[in-house]
Amino acid sequence: MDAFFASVEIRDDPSLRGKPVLVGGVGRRGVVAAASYEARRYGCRSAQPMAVALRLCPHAVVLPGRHEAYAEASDRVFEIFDRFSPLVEGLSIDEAFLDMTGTERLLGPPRQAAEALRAAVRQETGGLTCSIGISAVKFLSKIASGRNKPDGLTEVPPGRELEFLAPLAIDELWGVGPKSAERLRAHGIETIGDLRRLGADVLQQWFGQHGLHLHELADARDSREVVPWRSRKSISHEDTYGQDVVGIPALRRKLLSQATRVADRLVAKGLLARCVQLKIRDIGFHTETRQRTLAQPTDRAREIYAAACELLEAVEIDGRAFRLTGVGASELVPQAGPGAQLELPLAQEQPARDAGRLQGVLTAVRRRFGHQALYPAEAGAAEREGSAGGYSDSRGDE
Amino acid sequence: MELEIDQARLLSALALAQTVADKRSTMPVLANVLLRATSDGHLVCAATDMLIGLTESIPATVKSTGSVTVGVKHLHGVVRTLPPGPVRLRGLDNHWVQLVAGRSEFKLMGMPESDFPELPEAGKGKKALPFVEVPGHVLADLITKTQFSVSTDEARVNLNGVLFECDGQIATMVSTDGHRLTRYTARFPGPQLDKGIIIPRKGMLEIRRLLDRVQGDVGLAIGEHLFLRADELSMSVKLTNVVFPPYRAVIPTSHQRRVTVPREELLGALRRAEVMAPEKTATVRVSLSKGKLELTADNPDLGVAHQELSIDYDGTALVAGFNARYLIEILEVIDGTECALEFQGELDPCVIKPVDGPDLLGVVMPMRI
Repeated sequence: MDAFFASVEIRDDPSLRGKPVLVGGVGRRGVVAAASYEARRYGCRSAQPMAVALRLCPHAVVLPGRHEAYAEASDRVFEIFDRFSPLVEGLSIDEAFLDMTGTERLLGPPRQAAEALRAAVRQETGGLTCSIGISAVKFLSKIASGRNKPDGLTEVPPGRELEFLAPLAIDELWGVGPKSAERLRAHGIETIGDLRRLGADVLQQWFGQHGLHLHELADARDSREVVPWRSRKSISHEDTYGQDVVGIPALRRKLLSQATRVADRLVAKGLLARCVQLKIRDIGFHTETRQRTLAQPTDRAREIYAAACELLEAVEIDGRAFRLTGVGASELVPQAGPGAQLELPLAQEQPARDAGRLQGVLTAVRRRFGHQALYPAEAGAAEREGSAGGYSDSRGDE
Repeated sequence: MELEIDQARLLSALALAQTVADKRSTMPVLANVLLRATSDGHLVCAATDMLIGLTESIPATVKSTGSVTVGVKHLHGVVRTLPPGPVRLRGLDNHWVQLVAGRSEFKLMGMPESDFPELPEAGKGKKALPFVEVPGHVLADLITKTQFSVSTDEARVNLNGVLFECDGQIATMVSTDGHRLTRYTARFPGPQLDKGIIIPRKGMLEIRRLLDRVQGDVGLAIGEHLFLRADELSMSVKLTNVVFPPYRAVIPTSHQRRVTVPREELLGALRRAEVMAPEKTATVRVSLSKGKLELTADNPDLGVAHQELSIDYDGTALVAGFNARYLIEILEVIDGTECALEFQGELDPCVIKPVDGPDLLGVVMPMRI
């Protein structure tokens, strides 16, 4: 999807059309979660500090973001994807691989199917646009989809893969992060074509097994199949605060509020989390992340909060002020749907079942009336202060 | 240290020691076996992973006493492949060990006994724990029939062992992984315990291995450790200090549907169903209707298996999903030709037990289908 969060905002408020829109944290330390194409013209992009973005584009409209709206739009888009292929592999809230093998009789050649898909998305989502890449090689489709944004269609015909890849910068390749890119550039390797010419042996020497994989990709070989999978790998909620947070009680209030939101999203998605993460960043930008595996998967705010507090105990708090906290839940498993193994009601866990029902009710209330409708008293201060930051919603990558 | 010992005797001691020794520990000495030649003509072999301690004393011709520790993996590997016959062990300088058999000679690097942790003892004098002589085969049976449903999930520490209760006449072992539970009660003139103890999973397996080696009664003492003494073997297992969940509450006391099934026939059908069932969940659909029990394994990637067993049943129909493995594992340890399956609803636990047999019982939670 193109500038997904921003596009949803513009769709829902036509007065924003044509204006530079930034979605993200509105406070001093906020981060851009999405920038409309108008804003991108000024150099704004996602993951940029909001302050920087606003320096580049002072007249941009800044919106705090409405996660529910994006999730709903995402659900609709994925429903459309499901009509076009039985094999849809969600990559994030707004990206997916569709394996079109065997759909030709029904949908025509890939290009025609892609056009139909684009039309369907635009029509059924009230005007959201997407960009599509077509290729016989999985990761190439992803690269191709980014070549003609927004509202674009790029096809890499079979046999032309190497030609397409060769001139691209190395960091377009999956698995080449900033560090590897730097290392490669130091050796004069600038393009994917250079990387391929370097040969598998040299790459293996430099990067080990990973080097072989990189060479395969540069050679347009990607044996990975499209795996139907849309479940997220994690759900997290983090806030960057306008005011420094100091001391355990204040930190705990933030965590409680964040654990509550994570729990709400777990419940809404029918997922349970097995693992809880704590992320905390002090004003010196030292970031610590810690995680803990729970005895049993949960979607309850209280349990997530308790785990987060336990993790907090391991963090050196004295004499430090914090600018960011985050609570995440990962190792997600579907809540008892088909195929779910039921647990023995070991008696000590009986009260927990009631807590489960309670969590469902709390979530339902908040879904209907908003986050501030009902929250734990201890989180009150954090809720009233509001959170200055945006949230980050990290979803499964591979 | 210098001694001569029979290859087969040494091998059997090392075989036990090498399963106990911890080859991945941060303490390298735990990967070693302690060898100590005593003045009364024995070679003492000891190994530990700090949780389990094992000592075996085997007759040897001791020329000079002394001790050393050496990596058990390689010593065992060498001795295992030696031909039968006498083996000579000799301590060299710097804790090296020389092993000579026929015209083969090995020199292995070792560490001093002083590096080796002291193994727990049942105590001496007044503080000594009382040993009770118990039938080894019954203890082995208790373990065999319950160990398969011990949780291997390290996050559930209170389920990582088996609960052992004993009133001096009768012993009960209970294990659960949260999805199923197994309880086995047998006549066992064991120690009288005020409350149940939890024997950790690895301890159970090692006790079972030790019991395979001995016949007749073994001495059992329970304190902070569980001690086992048999012939020249002794073992200690550190008991886990966790609270086992109140398991009695999850064993259903009533049922709405009950069927009896020939055990072998059901087991065979389940094993075939498991082959076809989805690998990850092993889900099989169990259907009860008038006169028959049906087993269906439906695997979207593979195909379908449908099997029917004739049973004497006239109650209301039921369709429930189960992990085939859970059913198979409890049925495998039931001795007896007929077993009973008791159901409530499709989301309630199923109870499996022998019709005429020992007091063995499995509770298996269904799956949603």
